[in-house]
Amino acid sequence: MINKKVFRMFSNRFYSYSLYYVGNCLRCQREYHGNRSFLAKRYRRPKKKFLYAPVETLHAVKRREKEIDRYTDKYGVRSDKFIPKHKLPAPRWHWDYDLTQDSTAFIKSVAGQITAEYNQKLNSPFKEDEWPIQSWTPGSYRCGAIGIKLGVHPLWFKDGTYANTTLLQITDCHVIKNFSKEEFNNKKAAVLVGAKNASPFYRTEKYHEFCLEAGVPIKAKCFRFYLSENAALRPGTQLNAMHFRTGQFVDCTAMSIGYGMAGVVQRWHMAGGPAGRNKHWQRRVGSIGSHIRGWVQKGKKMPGQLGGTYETIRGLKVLRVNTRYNVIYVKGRIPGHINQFVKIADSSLPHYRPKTEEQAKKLIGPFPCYIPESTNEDLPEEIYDDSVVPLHAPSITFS
Amino acid sequence: MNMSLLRVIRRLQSSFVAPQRPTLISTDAEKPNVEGREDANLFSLEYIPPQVQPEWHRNKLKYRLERMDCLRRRQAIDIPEFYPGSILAVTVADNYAPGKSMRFAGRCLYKDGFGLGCKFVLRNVIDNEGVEKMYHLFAPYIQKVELLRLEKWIDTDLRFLRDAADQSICEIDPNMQAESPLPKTEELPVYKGKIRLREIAMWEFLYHKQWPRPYNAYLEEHFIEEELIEREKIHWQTQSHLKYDICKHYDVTKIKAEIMDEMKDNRHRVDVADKKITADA
Repeated sequence: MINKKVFRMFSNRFYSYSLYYVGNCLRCQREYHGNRSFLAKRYRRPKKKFLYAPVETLHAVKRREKEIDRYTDKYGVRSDKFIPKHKLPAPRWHWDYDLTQDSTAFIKSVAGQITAEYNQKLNSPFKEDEWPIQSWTPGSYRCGAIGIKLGVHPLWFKDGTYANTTLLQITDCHVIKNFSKEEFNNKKAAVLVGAKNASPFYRTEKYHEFCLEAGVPIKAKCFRFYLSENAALRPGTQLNAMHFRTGQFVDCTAMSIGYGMAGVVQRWHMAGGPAGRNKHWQRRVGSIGSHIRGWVQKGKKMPGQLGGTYETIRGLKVLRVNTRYNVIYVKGRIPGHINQFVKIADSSLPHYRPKTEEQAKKLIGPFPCYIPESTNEDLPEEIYDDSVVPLHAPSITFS
Repeated sequence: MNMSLLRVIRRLQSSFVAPQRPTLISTDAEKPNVEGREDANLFSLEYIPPQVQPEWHRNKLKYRLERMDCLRRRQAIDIPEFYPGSILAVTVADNYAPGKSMRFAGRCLYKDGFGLGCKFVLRNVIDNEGVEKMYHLFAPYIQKVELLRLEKWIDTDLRFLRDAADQSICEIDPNMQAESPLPKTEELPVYKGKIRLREIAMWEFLYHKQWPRPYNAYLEEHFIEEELIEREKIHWQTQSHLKYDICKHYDVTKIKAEIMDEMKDNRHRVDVADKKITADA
């Protein structure tokens, strides 16, 4: 039994509790200002019901995927996909240490012959009638390409200003697989594109088949692009630097530099505590919440994983194209290290998407992709945008 | 008779005239350039790529493309050889200046950066007011680079001249007549003079804590040597080992030879690439 006096003593506080609970719960959804990509997703997904017993591959047995216990990723989700590298068996092929150097060299030479054969098999993409060229229609998406980030250097414009440009090299970029609408999603068509020829060793047999079905040497990196169905490409077509046009706009996604587990000062640029005189509060978070509000708000900025995530940057202009070395000069900077794979696609921003056919000739490259055989005339080695000063040209004079 | 006397007499009697020794001195045109003053189309300090670690974060193709662009710019305008310490005059296209161009003369303080990102800073004192301007060396807005006086100092970073007691070192007449530089076949004398600084309280940086310490600055006026060593121990306990770090003394000779070979090919590549563009346009 609560005494009347006691109730009166705490009545104010009880009243305040109830008010905050109700009001704050609604407010909580509105007040959220954090980065939504770092929100924790803790719901449990239903387990997949296997209708058939999956056959274990040789590699799965070697990696002891059955026996190995499953690890979590940064969000605490447990899956087979997340295995730390140091947990994998160190030499992944037994002949790494069993075979001599001569025999490995022999195997590699044989593999080189095989890749050369595959290269010979590659035919021009549109010879067959199954993959006819279709013209551009409003609302159609084009395939992108994969580049390697080379570095950053400035280029100058005709009004005297300059901008830093990143160099993206497109090497051995081939279409690997094409998914129609029904195959993929029932919503969009898609295409898989691989870049940079790699050795067939240290990769799974499944991956080998996957690449070789297209008649293409094995690739180091694959990316998926969404398409409209009239832009479908035959597996095996090569993508060039001429796939992009100077003056068009481009979206780039790349893996940002990973800093691992980072504190709150480095990750969110918080001030931390004062440098001297105190012992406990240096480079730490302040208050997480109040005692009246009984929980921590979602999206509170706290220590955690910094970098190592795929990030996109939209609306970058292509200023210059080098057709000999297949290098694209893109205005602005792109996350990630040098020598890293970058996914390049036509920009999805509505302002930069073509609406009429005249715009389509300026804002995107040749549709559905650049075909080298159709134009027999010699390409210029360097193509500049109109706003850029070519470096071999005489210096600027205003009149 | 003495044999030696006989020999002398015979020599006097004979009509033999000893021929002159062949001289190995070649003409000036055939003389190669002095090491360190190569042709800028072949080698210059800004062609050396930065030492990025680890090594797989470098890309050689990018360095080559950038060097080719530098060569293009060097063919478009004449960029003379200069070092920090020499006096230059730069004319720049400026839309808001009368006559649409600006000329600025000054002493070069430092040169920094790789490839197209190479920058240099000129300093001049005009009406007792220090003025500094930074330019990209390969920017197309630069119309002309005149070399007024070629000098080379021991230090490569002369930013201590901001704190010089006598500012007349950087006070340069813009109408100064250009002096003809030494030919590249001769070695440049290095300026080893000392320059007095102001009081320590007025300094912009603490030059006695830098490493390597500036040679041309007259620091001994303010400190004795033991004091300098002591200060280094106190303030630079973590970084004083740089003096003994062999990796910091970066040997360029191998890279230089590679670049020289590459630049010979690059000139041909650039010519081939640019001719096609002019044919189309």
